[in-house]
Formats: sequence, C-alpha cells, structure tokens
Amino acid sequence: MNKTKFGIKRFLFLALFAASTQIHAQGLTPLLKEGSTNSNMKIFTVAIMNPYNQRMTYEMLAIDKETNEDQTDIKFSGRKGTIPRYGQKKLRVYIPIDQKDREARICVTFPEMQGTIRPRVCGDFTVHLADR
Amino acid sequence: MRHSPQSRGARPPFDIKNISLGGLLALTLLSMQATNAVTVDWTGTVANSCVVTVGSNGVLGLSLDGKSLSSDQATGMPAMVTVASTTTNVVTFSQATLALRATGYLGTPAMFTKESSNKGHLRDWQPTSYQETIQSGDTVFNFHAKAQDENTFPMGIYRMSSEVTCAPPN
Repeated sequence: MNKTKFGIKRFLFLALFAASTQIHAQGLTPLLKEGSTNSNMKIFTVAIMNPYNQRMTYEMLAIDKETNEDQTDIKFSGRKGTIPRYGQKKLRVYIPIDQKDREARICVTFPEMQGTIRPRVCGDFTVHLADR
Repeated sequence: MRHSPQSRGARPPFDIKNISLGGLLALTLLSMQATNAVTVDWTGTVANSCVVTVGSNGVLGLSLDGKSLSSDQATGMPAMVTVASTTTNVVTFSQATLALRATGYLGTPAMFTKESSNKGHLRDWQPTSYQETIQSGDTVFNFHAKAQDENTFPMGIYRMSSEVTCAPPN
C-alpha cells in the first residue's frame, strides 16, 4: 500500500516536472510616459525586448488600470508578433482621447505560455488634451 | 659567408632623403592633430524599463496526507522569477489558479502563494494577490504556490498558474 502511494507521488512529480521546463522572458520600455496632443489621438513609441536565445511571441494589451478591463479602442502597430532572439521591437501605441486626460496601461504578455508563471510587464501612459 | 645585395654596396633599402621627408610629414601631421583636437561625446538616457524572466517554473509535490499540493513540499520546487528593473517599480503576484487538474478531481481547493527574494522580500502564504516594491537592479523571487483541499487530490496532472506583473508604482 505504501509502495503504491510512493509510486503515485513519483508519477505526479515527474509529470509536473515535465510540464514545466520552458524559460520565458520579456521586457518593456518605457514604463512611464506622458504627453499632450491637440488632436484626437496621441502616439507613443514603446520597445519590447527579448534578451534571450530563443524567439519570443508577444501580445500587446491595453487595460484599465483600476478594473483590468480591455481598452479596445487603443491600437498598436503590431498587437501580436514575434521578436527574434536577443532582439528588440519598436511599436507605436495609438491612444485616442476625447476628454481632458486619459491614462492607459499598456502590457506585453505571452499568449502561448503554458507554464506556472505568466510574466507580464506593463507601462502607464498619460495623454493630456491641449487647448485647441 | 653569403651577402645580401644590399650589404654588397648596392642601393640602401631607404633613401635618406625619403626618410627626412617622411619625418617632416609626420611632424606636420602631428602638429596639425594637436591644434585640431576634438572631443567626442556619447550621451544616452536610461528609461524606466522592466524585464521579467521566468528562470524555472515550479514543481508541485503532494503532502503525506494527500490534501495539500504545493511547491513547498519535499518533492516540490518553487518557481524562480527574476525581475530586472532600472528604477523603483511594483511587482504584482496574482492569486494562483488551478489551470490544469486531474480528470477525477472535482473539488474547489483553497489557493495560496508565497515568495521570498534575494533583496529581502518575504511573504508567507497569501490567499489573494499582493504587491512587492522593487528597486533598480535584479530581484530574484522564489515563488511558491499551494492548493489545499479537505479531500485527497487524486492521481493525475495538475498545474497552478499565477501572473507576475512588473509595472510602475501608482
């Protein structure tokens, strides 16, 4: 009986270990940026980084800082894509504005990641509407 | 003894006139360089950036009574997450979820996470998400997850998942 218990534990251990050996990393810069516009759109440039020796698939998200809800009106020059190993990719973030100020949280994530940890890096971008 | 053509009174390898002229030219160039020296600068700005690396995902082990599945058990291992930041930022550890479960398991376990770091962060088991402030440099977190149930976890594959977010402080 004890032997069976040990066997189950060992199986569980090996199965979990096999399912969890990928290495992932991601970076984003800048994490804070503020700007003003007198049009109805502000464009920021961000860089996403892959400091490791494997190609990285990324997905950009714009979310509300408080509620975590998607802000689908914010667009990217490349919402999904890949970055070569040791590479960087510059993207443009298009933030529409129809009020005095707008703050958006921009995040880079790994949609394909299946591990126990889902890393995410987010930056806060603030747009002020200049007097027209 | 063999002689080379030069040592036998033939034409010397360098003409003395050429040497004088060359020296004069070098001196002229040196004096020109001294009078036209310039300083070259490189400038750059290090922006606020953050890189999150999952060095290794965690491994879960089962407790002796079979009711706790945790990376803190003897057969488990914590996940290792490195956060490289250029300034003060905040790392949020979300509440763990059971992303994959054995087909025979229908329970709703209580989920917890805890962590410690090489920079002195230390957090015991937490049932909800929480935040740690990091300074510039590399912070290495050992991140644990646990699922606890009143009943035994049946045989099969389980995976707990948690989101680690680096973002600027509010």
